[in-house]
Amino acid sequence: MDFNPVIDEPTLRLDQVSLRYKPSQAVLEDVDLVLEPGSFSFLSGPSGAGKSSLLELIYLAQKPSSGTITLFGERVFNQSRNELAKLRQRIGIVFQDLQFLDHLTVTQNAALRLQVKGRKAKSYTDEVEEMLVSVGLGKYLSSFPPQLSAGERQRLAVACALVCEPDLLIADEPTGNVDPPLASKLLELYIDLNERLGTTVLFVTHNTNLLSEVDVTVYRLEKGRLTVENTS
Amino acid sequence: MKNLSILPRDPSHETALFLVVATICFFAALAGMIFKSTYDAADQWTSEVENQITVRILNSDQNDAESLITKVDGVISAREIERTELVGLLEPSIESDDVTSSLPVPSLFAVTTDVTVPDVADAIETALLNRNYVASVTSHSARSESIRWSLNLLSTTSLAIIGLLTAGAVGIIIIATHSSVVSQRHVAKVLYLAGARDGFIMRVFVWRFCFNVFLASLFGALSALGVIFLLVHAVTSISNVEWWLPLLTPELDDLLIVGVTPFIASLVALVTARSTVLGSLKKLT
Repeated sequence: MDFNPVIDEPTLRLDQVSLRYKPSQAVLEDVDLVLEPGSFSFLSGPSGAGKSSLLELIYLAQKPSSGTITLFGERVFNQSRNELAKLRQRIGIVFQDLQFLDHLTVTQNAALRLQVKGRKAKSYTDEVEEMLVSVGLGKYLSSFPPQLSAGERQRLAVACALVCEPDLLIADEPTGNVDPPLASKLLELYIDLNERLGTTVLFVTHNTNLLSEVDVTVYRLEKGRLTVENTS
Repeated sequence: MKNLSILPRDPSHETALFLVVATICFFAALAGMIFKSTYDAADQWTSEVENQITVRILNSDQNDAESLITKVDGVISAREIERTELVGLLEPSIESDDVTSSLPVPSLFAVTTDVTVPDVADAIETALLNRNYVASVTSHSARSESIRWSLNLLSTTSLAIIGLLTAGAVGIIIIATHSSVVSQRHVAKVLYLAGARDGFIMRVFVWRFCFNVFLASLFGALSALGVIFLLVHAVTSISNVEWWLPLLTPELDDLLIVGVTPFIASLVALVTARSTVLGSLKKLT
């Protein structure tokens, strides 16, 4: 499955973005972030630094208190909920607490995004199975998520997120609940997908060992402020 | 690969919902059918007595009263009630042939009138008086007025009961929808994160919910019809209760109530579920 997005604009641009739940309490303060198409970046920071809030802004579940967000060249401003949903369809998300429907098989879970987009089952069977094989789940097509190991569930989450060939893949602590060797393998999987498919990846982690394994841009979020630690 | 059934079965919520909706629709359909049958029976009886007048002749030395009455404008027919017929009416109360045979029975005429012609009773009385009859003319329309008043009271009361049952059903459907969404909110979240539009997520919940409500309300309405049929069967197999029959005769209209109830219930479910799901989604996300 080859996917090479041709976008001149950055995939994501945040300019002076702030988020406040109360006027005196800034969760995010003047955040600037640019993710170029096809790039792989880490987002790191301690718990409570505002990582989840930043991700909510990126996948359009929240509106910033100030600043501008430009996603796929389109400024996110006053779009309707349906227009936001359409933009969200171009983002793949993998959460630490993985979101599956346990009554559906691995294949059916992976196909969910395609069904949401209105594709008919007959038209996507092959590509879903191909995606599952590519993440190492070829043996589990008819299994159910609770029957999978932690690592296999992570792989399924990746397949679910990538099956729609998103322009941006956000992985929120995907290695949070797995042992170090498996964490390294999962990181390799993301890097491989980034290189093979050209998908822009924002990999959120507080695992410092992982950060040292690859030479990519590392953004660090602390007390709501974002800094660039390492530019590859 | 089949198109997916996204919303998992939730037997505990769905069974409870089925029972509650079926019960409330059973009572609503039963109330509707009893109201309709009672109203129809009373309306029919009222229409029958509304055009009837009874004339009692107190001096009977002349014998042309029947033809006099018949000639009055607005009279359709007039018939003298036979002595045997009158005695037959009295017998159940007196139960003695000796007494009834010696009773002085007045000369009575059963008159059928055209209800569109006004003051027929007065015209009959005047016509008889002009020929020196001493007569008492009783119009049944006065009684039908009180029956009409009772019917209006019955209609208002029944409609209020049906309205309350409907309001209760709507309330239950709202609570059940909200509960269903909350219990399956992870499905809504998964779909939301997959980029599903609100309409898509709403349809996933609402169609399942509407289908369940349709089945439950159909079951409730059919049960009500079954109860009506059983009552009719029981009543017809017992003697001396014939007066029940007009009340409990199942007709085509009753089938209409059975047919309409699930559609009304499903429509209510559709509208309330839709707004509840969308409201819940906005809170959820």
